[in-house]
Amino acid sequence: MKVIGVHVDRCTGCKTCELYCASERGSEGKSLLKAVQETPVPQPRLRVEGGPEIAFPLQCRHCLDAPCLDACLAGALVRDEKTNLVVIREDRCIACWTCTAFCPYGVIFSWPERKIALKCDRCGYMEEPVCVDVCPTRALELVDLNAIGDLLQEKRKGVTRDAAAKRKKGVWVLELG
Amino acid sequence: METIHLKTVDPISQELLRSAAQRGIHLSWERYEKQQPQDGFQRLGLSCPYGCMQGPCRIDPFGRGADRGLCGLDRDGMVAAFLLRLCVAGALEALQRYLPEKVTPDVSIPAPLNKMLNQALKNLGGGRLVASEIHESGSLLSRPEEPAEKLVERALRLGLLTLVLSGQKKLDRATRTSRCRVGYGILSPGEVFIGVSGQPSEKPFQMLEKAVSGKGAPAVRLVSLGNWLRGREGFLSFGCTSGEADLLLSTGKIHSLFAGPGTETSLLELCRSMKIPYMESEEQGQPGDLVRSARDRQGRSSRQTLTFPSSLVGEGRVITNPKELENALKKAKARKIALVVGSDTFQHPVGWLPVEIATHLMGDGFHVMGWGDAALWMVKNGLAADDRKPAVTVLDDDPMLAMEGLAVADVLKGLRGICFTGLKTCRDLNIALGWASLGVRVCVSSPLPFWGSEVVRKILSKKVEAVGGAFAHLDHPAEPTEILDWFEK
Repeated sequence: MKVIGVHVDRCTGCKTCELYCASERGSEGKSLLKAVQETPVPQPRLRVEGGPEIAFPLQCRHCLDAPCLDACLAGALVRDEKTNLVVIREDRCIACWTCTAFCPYGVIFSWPERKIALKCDRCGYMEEPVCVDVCPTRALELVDLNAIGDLLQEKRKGVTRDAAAKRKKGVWVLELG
Repeated sequence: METIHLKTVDPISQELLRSAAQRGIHLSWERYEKQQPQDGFQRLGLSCPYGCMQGPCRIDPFGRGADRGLCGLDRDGMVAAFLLRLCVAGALEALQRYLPEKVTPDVSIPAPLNKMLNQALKNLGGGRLVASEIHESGSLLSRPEEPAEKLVERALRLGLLTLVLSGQKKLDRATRTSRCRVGYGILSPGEVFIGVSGQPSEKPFQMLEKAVSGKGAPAVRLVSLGNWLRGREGFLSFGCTSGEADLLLSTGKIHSLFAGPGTETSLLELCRSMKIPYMESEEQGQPGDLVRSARDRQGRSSRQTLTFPSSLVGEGRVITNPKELENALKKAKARKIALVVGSDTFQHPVGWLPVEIATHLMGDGFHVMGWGDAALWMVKNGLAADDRKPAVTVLDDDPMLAMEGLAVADVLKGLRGICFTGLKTCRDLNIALGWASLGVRVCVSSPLPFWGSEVVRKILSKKVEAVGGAFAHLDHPAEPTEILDWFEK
């Protein structure tokens, strides 16, 4: 399964991902300048949170044990068999907002004007999610969950190499920051 | 390279693009692609233009986040101020370009346009049009409490001012017939070419011409890289339009560059990376050195195989004064007139709109006139050739000339509209707004940063409609069919 990963150090909080998610995924016109003229106002499926020191784009993590799936009373939230992503069937959604309360990350949004809950579906039918495509600093990246093990291993190797380079002796407690 | 047809319509340019890519030369289109999508807030005008140190504030166009700036500025005020900021920059640019020596010059208005201009000014708050308005408008950009309507009014006045300023430099309005030649074909093998970019001021340009005309072999010729430059022998021949300047430079056929103010940084960067000698016109260097360097470079690269057939040249007559234009219009018995003008931009394949639109309009009985890159494309494609009937009328790069000529010939009523196929600088935007403020129908083919506020768009429309004008701009890059429909309306 592929999910959207965030390089926190690269996010400048410009909200380009939000703007283009709303305009390309939430609007009829599929362009920013058309989207701002539409009613109801298009909504993005991710939010950039944070302050001057750190910004972080948050969208559905497609949890393997997703609380929203259990919370949905209407069966609108389902796990897609093919992609393994948590997706919403808008025709079934009754706008009860239970899922929004259960999501531990706060990334399922209510859209009262259209009477549906809104969440990231990772632009499943597209080659690359819009947010990943438009991010000017490449802070967002599409990563394969299976590859995360490799990434972690790479990190461990890095730590080991650093330790070896410094020729530490005796017991070494890693500085956790 | 699969999108090459989206970059330029010229097949030779497409080949040159491929060649540049194979040689690892980075050109403007590549930078454009890397910039996509450009800042969404700025594209909507919702990025605050007031230069305060609390910002930068932005307003969420979708209404979830901030609906005001820190100071309380709302979206209409922000978009209107954004428009004004662009217009202040455009007017300053015009002042620098047309009247560089004078800080606050008096502005004189051509007699045939007095009535129109007075009517336009009456609609925009009255008073005289003076260059000091630029400073006054600039000071409005430190007062966020000004209402959107006032800012838009100011912006339109600056549009008028820019238009009038562009007609102030009468020295270049030659009485004799001028011609222009455009195309890669002017770069004949065996000759030495010095490219001229930007707008060099008069004195250094004359010094360069003198250095080029001196003794020495092989002969050296000056070639414009898209700017309209008048030399002793008339307009410099155009090697390309402004949108293809770096492409032409990448071929190695230009042996040195004389860069005037307004030259894009990328051209100088390309010169450095390709080791092409260059000189910045205002840096008080010796043009003779540049000529020598060009000859040296040509000598070293004389074995290169790239040659352009001499047939790749378009030629046409250029109208340089209102009287000449009056005669041309009377001769053509023009009843429906369309102006197709503007610069190359990346939003459309360069050359596509001017050629497509002009061809169709002429087929529909319009008399088409143009200036800027748009006109160069028409000349390049033979639409202004002497033996072509009907032919496009090419105007000197002076927006006021067209207006004066039409007024003198008493055919302003026949003007169906003016289409800007591309706006590159803020000055271009001002000129478009200036025309609309005078009561002319204006269409801009690329989106402008006003879509963040419906109120501002309405104020703008209302203001220009009050004098019989129109200002059309779409929320997407316009297709030729949309522009043709607009002309036919």
